[in-house]
Amino acid sequence: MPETVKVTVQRYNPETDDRPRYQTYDVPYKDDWVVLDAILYIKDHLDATLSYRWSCRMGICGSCGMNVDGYPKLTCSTHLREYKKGLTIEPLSNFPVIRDLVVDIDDFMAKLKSVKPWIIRELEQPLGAGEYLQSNNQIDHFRGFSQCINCMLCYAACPVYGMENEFLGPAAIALARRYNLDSRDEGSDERVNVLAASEGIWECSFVGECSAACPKGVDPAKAIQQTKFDTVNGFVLGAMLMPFGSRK
Amino acid sequence: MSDPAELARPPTKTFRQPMASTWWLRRPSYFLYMLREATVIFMAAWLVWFLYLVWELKNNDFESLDGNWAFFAFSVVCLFMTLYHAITFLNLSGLILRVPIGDRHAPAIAVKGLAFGGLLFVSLAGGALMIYLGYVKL
Repeated sequence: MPETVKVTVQRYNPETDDRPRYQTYDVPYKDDWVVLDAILYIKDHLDATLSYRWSCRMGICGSCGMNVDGYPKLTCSTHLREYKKGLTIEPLSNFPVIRDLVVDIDDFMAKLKSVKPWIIRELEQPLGAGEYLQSNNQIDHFRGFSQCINCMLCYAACPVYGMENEFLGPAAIALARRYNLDSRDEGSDERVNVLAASEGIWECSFVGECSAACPKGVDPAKAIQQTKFDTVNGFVLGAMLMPFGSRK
Repeated sequence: MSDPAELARPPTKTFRQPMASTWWLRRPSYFLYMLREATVIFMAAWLVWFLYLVWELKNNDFESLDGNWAFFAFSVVCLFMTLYHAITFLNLSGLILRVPIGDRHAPAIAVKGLAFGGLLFVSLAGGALMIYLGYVKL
């Protein structure tokens, strides 16, 4: 078991640097440490200027996503023991870097909002009217997609988003799918224009890395392909084959 | 009108790492994706070559097809490329196609099995028809 592990971190200070540089630290090796522990150690003991995001330390908040040896990971869920020979930590790919390991998430937040990831009702019922009941089978339809924690690892893994930043992206589409499949929701017509736009589902060429990178098993690639199928199906059945008046 | 909080925020200088043209060499999965996408180039080349050979037949140059080992070898490569594309495509069928059965959906493995079974059936039926009509001699 090594006494220390070399942790190389990408640094970028917008006030002094034109482009990022790399800095290596010797961090004590502990078998039960995660990569985030190593970063916290650097901040607390070696270099207080290091900037990064983190919060819950338990794989729920989705704040601590970074590239570890080139792969997008939640650093709170990635053990140091997988990198005994050293590791390189960089900010998530495909996003503008604000400082060190902190990326600009404004683009993602705008895209997330654009798909209206909340339950939409044509007529809102007063609270006194009771709950919208669901069976377990109805919940099973969207349960997997509802596990998304907005960590953006899927965006960092997606080369399509890397080349075409206009792409709506995996997580936003997966969350739109989650609400479209929800039996309580009546807002799919409000989402379809965003999803079926050229920057939406059709931009995806199914690399599949979004699903491989997802720490929660959401499978955004599946959500995108299913949405493509349903969109075409809805168009063919609704606009071409069904008698007029049957469409909303 | 702009959000006052946005107006108050000073512009942030950021750095965006450009995407290298060799990005698809970074990971095996990216390479396999590019290989899958590139199969279409092989299929297009095969079709152009095949049409050229058919065009040569008008001069009764039957030897252009018969015993053309270069075309045969390229066809074998294209066959593997096509199979790779077909397998990756049909592997998705279980994920994408949601066949409703009451309140639930058919299991993905069943949909995938039907897709691969269909491919096998069509391939065997096509081959049997070619043999039956005498286009292929055993």
